[in-house]
Parts: sequence; structure tokens; C-alpha cells
Amino acid sequence: MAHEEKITKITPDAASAIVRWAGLRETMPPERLAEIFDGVQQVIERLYSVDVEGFEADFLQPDARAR
Amino acid sequence: MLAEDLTGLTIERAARLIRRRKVSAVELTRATLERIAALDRLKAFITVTPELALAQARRADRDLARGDHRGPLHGIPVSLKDLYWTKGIRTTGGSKILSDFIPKEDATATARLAKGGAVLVGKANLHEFAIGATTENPFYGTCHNPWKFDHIPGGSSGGSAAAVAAGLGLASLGSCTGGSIRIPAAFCGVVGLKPTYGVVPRTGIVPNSSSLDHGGPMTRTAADAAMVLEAIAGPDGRDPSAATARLPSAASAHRRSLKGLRVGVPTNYYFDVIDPEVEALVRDAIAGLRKLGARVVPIAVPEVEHSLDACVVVAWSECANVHRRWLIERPQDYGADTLEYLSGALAYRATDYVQAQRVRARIRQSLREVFQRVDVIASPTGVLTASRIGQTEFKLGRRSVPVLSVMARITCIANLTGEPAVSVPCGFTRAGLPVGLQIHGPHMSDMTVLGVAHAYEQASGWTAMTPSLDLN
Repeated sequence: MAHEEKITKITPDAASAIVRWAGLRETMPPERLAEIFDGVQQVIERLYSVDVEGFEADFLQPDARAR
Repeated sequence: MLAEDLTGLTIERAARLIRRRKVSAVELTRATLERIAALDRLKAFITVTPELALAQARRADRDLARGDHRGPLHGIPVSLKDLYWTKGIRTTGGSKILSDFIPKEDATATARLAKGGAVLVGKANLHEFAIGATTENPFYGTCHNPWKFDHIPGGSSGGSAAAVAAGLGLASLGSCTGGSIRIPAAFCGVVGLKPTYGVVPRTGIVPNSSSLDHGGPMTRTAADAAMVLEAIAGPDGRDPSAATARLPSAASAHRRSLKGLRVGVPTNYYFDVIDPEVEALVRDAIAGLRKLGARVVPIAVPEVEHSLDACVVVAWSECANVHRRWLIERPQDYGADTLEYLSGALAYRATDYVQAQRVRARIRQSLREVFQRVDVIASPTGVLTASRIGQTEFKLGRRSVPVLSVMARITCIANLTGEPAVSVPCGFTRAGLPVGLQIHGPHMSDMTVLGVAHAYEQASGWTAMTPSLDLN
């Protein structure tokens, strides 16, 4: 089943928190980080709209079955 | 022969001349090194290796005099994207972070080129860590397109493409995560092959994204790409993802007729967002394939429109994992765009990565079904031509399209599926910029896609075109 989910827009404060939580230094303004993370969320939302029922991720050999 | 004639040879022709001792490896290497120096303004190289190159060339000539001929690359000047480890020669990855990294051993592909008698003239410029497609490198200089100096060569293997187009070596090895061989090949009017995943071992190639990374050849012609591929392909016992199946010989890529070949032409996605001039040239090229005997079959490729999103999430997640330590310890040593890409990857959760891999599996299934009906898919390599240096948006009719968001729109599909795809020149826009035709085939059909490209280039003559460059 396709999954639809609207994700809350990331605020500059939240973007700063994500960066710190990941163990990184803040190397750019929080507003810019928030824009970047917002773009990321849009990509993720589109991916969750794809029906992947019956399809599994294969982490060991991504193309082994096709060889 | 004049020096300029020497550097304009194909590998096929140069190999014949060397074998018959009409031209020496030293002559060819000297001519190439002089041309590299004269065209330094292109910034195609990060490191030039004249002493090594001349030593290898002298050895190639000595070996030949003794009757020891090592194959079609014997005495042929080549370059490597500066992502391939070279023993004793710095390998920067186009980065400040690896600016003083001197590997203790060669990458498998580097060693195989040397074993085949190739002469290494230098390490080619690239987008920092292969994370980007413009080759505007903040540490080693912006690489320029030999056809139009104020335009990008594409990337990330931009230095490799510019070098081959400008006659600075007869071949280069590039690497490709979402289109980094075919995009610059198309933008610079050369041939670029992304082989089947695992055919070229990744051992000793600075990693970007383990499940999407491929090494492959960039050359003037498809026949030359087949010869280089043959020299570097095959498992090395060290790369766990290396393909175990063997490719047919490079000679099998020498086809003239496409009689009976089923060429799929997509009816969805591939031509939806495209510069009209690029579309016209690609459709002309497809008509050319039909004239060569191919049967053109309209095909739909379900779910392929999600390819770029899936590729982005998989690529940036795997790449950020590789870079995590440096991101924590040395963020100030990254270029601005690279740091933005990698910072964005922090927002992907493990569940998102899994979802992207499942979408990838869905797209692989689509392509497998398509290849039940056709032998290859013909499409544009890119939907745009090379943009101006610094340009961030492109006009398509009344729309403004961010350059980077569409550059890998088509090329990334074959990275997700692991299937081979080649870009072959198919003409020029009115502005004089090259356009590429992509031929994409099923797993292990590398020599087939090169054979189709060879037949097309023999009939069309586009690969014989070279940029006019002032050497003074």
C-alpha cells in the first residue's frame, strides 16, 4: 500500500538541534540548514508515496539477483 | 607525424602504429605532455606525472623492441580521475582533506592499466570527492569545457572528459555514482561507459556510495572504451561486490549493422523535461539506429520517475557514512556545496534509506521486465547541455530549472539498477555544445551497448569531431 504522510516543516532551531544531535559543528546559518533539511523531507515524502509492497531492500549484494 | 596528429589518434590507431614501430611510446607521450602543459588553462589535471610517464614509455619501447607486446594499451598515454589510488603519487579525491594522501598501493584498475603497458600522464580534476557534477573545484581550480571555455565540463569526472576531448591522453578512467562518467562524456563530446556494477573492482577507488559506485572508461570512441574496459574488468578477490561473470571480448563490440536489434525508446519520463535542441538531436540519432537495421520499440518504464529521489537518498546516506569522521573533525575543510550535500544527508533516517532501497528494487524490476522486450534502451544522456560556469538555473521554455536537479535525471537509473550504459556523441547544438545519446542494456551487456555505440559512431561520424584549441 502506498503510504502518505505530511511531515512538519523543520524550523531553524530544529535544524540546529539535528546537527548537534548528529555530533557535528554548526558550520552554516540555521536558516540555511532548515532549507536544506526541508528539501530532504520533500524527497522523503515523495519516496513514501511509492508502492513498494513485495519489494525488499537487499543490503548485502544489491544486484546479486540480477547477475 | 606532427605532435597534434599524434594526440588526436584513437587508441586503436595509436596501438597499430606503436606495434608496427611507426611511432614510439616516448614520442606519443612527449607530444601528450607538451599538450597538457600548453592547455593547462583547462584545469583538467590536479597532478601531472611527466617523469613516471616518460619512464613507463621508455619501458614500453624497450619491451616492444624485445618482442614483449602487452596488448592494445601498450605505450598508450592515459589519465586517471584523482580518485584512483596511485602508489607513491598523491591521490586527493579533489579534496583538501586528502591533499597530502599518498597511497601505498595502486587501485586494482590502476595496476591493470600499468600491466597492460599504459602510460600514466596524470591525475584528472574532479568535483570534490565526486560529490557534484560541475567540476568547479574550490581547491584545484574550475575545470573548463574544451568546446566552450566558459562552460563546465560536467562531472564529477569532468577533468577526465575534458582531457580526452582536448587530446590530453587517449583515455581516462572515471567513476560514476549517479552519472559522473556519462554526464561529462556527453558535455565534452566523448564516449563514457558506466559498466555493469561490479565488473570493474572498486578496490582502491576513494569511495562515494558503495552500492552505486562504478569505475569505467572515457575515450574518443566506443571501440577504445571496449579495449580499456577489457583491460580493467574482472574480479580481484578484494572487492566483495565484484561481478564473477566474464564479459565477451572487446572485439565483439565492433559491430557495423544493428539488424534485428530491438531498441526501446521510452514513452514516459525520459523526454518529459528536456531542452528541445537536445531532444531533436537524440531523436535524429534514434532514427539513425533504425537506418542501421534496428527495430525501434516504444516502451513504458513504470516507476522510473522515482529514480532520482531513490538515488539521492541512497547515495547521500552511504556517502555521509563514509565522511562522518571528517564531517565531525574537519567540516571547515570541505567546499561549501559538498558540505551542504553531506549535511542534508543527516536528516535521512535508517527507515528512509530502507524505503529508498525498496523503491530501487521496484525500479530494477521494471527495467528487468523492459529488457524482456528489448535489447537496449536509447535515450538522451542528459536533458541539458553543459551550463555556463557558475550557472545554477536553466531556462526550459518559460520554466527555470535548477541545473543540478536535472543533470542526473536519466543517468542515475542505470546506477540504481547496476546495468551498463554508455554515452556516445550525437551532435552539437547551434551554440556548439555536444549532446550525448545514451544506450542502456541489461546486466553484463557492456559489449553490446558499446557495439551499438560503435555502429552509430561509424555511421554518424560525430566522434571524429575535436574542439579547436589554441596551443599558444
